[in-house]
Amino acid sequence: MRGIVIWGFGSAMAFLVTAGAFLVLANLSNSLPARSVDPKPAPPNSTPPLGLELSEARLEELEKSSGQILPLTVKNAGESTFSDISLTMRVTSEDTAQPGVRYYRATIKNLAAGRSKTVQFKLDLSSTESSEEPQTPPDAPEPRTILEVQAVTPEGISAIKTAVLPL
Amino acid sequence: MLTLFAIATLVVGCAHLDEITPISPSPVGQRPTDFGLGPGVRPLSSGPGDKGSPGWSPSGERLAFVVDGYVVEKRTNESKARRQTTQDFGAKRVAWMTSGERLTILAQGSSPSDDPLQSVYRADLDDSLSVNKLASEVVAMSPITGGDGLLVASQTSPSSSQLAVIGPNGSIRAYGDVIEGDITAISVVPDGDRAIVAVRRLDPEQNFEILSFSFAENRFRTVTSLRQDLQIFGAPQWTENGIYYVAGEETVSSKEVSPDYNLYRLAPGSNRPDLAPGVGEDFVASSLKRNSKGDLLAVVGRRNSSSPANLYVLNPDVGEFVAATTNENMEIKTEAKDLAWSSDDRRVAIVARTMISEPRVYDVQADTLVSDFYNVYEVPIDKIAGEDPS
Repeated sequence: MRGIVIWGFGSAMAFLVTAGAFLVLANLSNSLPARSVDPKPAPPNSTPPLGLELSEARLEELEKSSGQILPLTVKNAGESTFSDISLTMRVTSEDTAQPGVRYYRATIKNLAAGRSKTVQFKLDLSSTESSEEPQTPPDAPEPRTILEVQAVTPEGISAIKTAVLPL
Repeated sequence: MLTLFAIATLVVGCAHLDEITPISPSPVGQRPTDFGLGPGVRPLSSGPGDKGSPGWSPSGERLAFVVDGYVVEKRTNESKARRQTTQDFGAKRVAWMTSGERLTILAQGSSPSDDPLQSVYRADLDDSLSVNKLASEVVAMSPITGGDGLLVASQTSPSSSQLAVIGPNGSIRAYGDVIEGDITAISVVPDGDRAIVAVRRLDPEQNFEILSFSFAENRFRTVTSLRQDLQIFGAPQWTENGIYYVAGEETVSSKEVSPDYNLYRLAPGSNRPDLAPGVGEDFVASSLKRNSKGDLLAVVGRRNSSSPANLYVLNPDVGEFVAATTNENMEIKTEAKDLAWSSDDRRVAIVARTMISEPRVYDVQADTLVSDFYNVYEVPIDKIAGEDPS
C-alpha cells in the first residue's frame, strides 16, 4: 500500500516538474520583443527556376475569333535541365456563368538550364456563348477574356501567368 | 517544495496571456495599398465575375451579392464565398431579411422559356441551393426596416401595378389601390410607416410621379409630377430634409454616354423640386441611397460631365457634400442596386473595376485578381462624414 502511495506521489511530482519546465521555457520565449507576422519577402535577387513570358505586343493584337496564334516563352532559370514541362493554357470569359472553358496543352520534352523555348498556341477566342441562347443579359457589361497559362514540371516546380484581355 | 515550484511556474507561465496580439485576418486577393479608389477602400470580393447588388447582413459581418446572375454569400473578412442559388438563376437583386438568416432574391429566369417578369424568392443560408418562390410578376422590392417583411410592387396588368407586403412567413398582403402605370422603384422610410414610390404613368403624357404611401392610412398621396421628358433613376430616398431623387432625360440605351442626370430635392411639404443643395450645379448624379437613420445620403456621380465617377456622401442637414473615394481610372457601377450601406452606417459597398484598353499580365491566378473585374469594395464613411455613429 505504501509503495503505491510513493509511486503515485512520485509520478505526480514528475508530471509537475516536467510541466513546470515547459512553462518556464514558454515564458522565456514570451520575453522576446513582439513583431508583426508579415509574409517573408522574397530575396531581392531570387529568380523562380521556371519563367513564363507572354508577348504583350502580341496580346494586344489578339482578336475575338478563332485561329489566334499566341507564342509562350518558357525559360529555365534553374541550375539543371527540366524534362517534360507540362503547359496548360486556359481561356475563359470574365462571365463565370458561361460554361465554356477552352484548354490548350503542350509539353516541352527537355529544357536545359539557362535556355528558353517558345511554344505557339493556336487559340479560339471567339465567344463561348451559344448564338441561339445568349447567357449574358443585354444590359450587362462586356465580359473580358482571361488567359491563364501554367507550367508544371514532374518535380512539382510550377509557374503561372494570367493575361486579362479587353475582348 | 517541488509542488510550490510547479505552482509558481504555472502562475508565471500564464501571466502573459493578455500580451498576445491577434493576427489580422488574411486579406482577399491581391493587396496593394490602394485599389484605385483611394486610401481606406478595401475589396470584399475578388476574381472574375460581374458582381452587383451587394448587401450587408444586419450584423455587418456577412455580405451577399449577385455574380453573373447567381447569388453568393460570404463573411466580409474571408475570401471564400458560398453560392446560394443555381448558376443560371437569373438573379438581379439580393437583400437580407432582418433576422440575418435568410436572403430575398429578385430574379428573372435566364432562359427564353422562363417567365419574362421577375419573381421574389427566399433562400435559407445553407448549402442546399434551394429557394422558395414568394411572389411573381414583381417589378421592385425594398426591405422593411425593423421586421422580416419585404415591400414589393407587382404588375397586376400590363398597365397597372400594386404594392404588397410579404411577411416573415411568406404571407402576402396587398396594400393601397391598384395604380395605373408602372411602379419603377420603391423605398421605405426609416421608421417603416411610409413608402416612397416612383411611378411611370401610362397616360398619353407618360410622365413620372413620386408618390408617398402611408401603411397606416393605406393610401397614396402624390408628392410631385415630373416634366414629361424626365425619368427617375432608382428609388427616391426619404430624409428629414426632404425626398431626394435622381432624374434626367431618357436615353435610348443605357450604354450611351451618360447624359446630365441631376440630383433633386423635394423639401418637406413642397411639390416643387430643386437641385439638391450643396452638390453643385455641374454635378452629374447616377444613384443614391440613404443610410439607416436617413440623415446621410450616399451618392454616386461626377463633379462635372468630364470628371470621373466617385462615391460622395451628402449630409442634407448642413449641405455638406464630401467625396468618399478618389477615383481616376475605375468604372464604378452607377445603378442604385449596386450601392449599399452597412447596418451601422459606417461603410458603403460599391462595385467597380479598372478601365482597361490593353491587356494586363500578372504572375498570379485570375481568382486572386481584384481590380480587373467588377468587385465589391468597402468604403469607410464614418471618418469622412465627420461623425462617429457610436
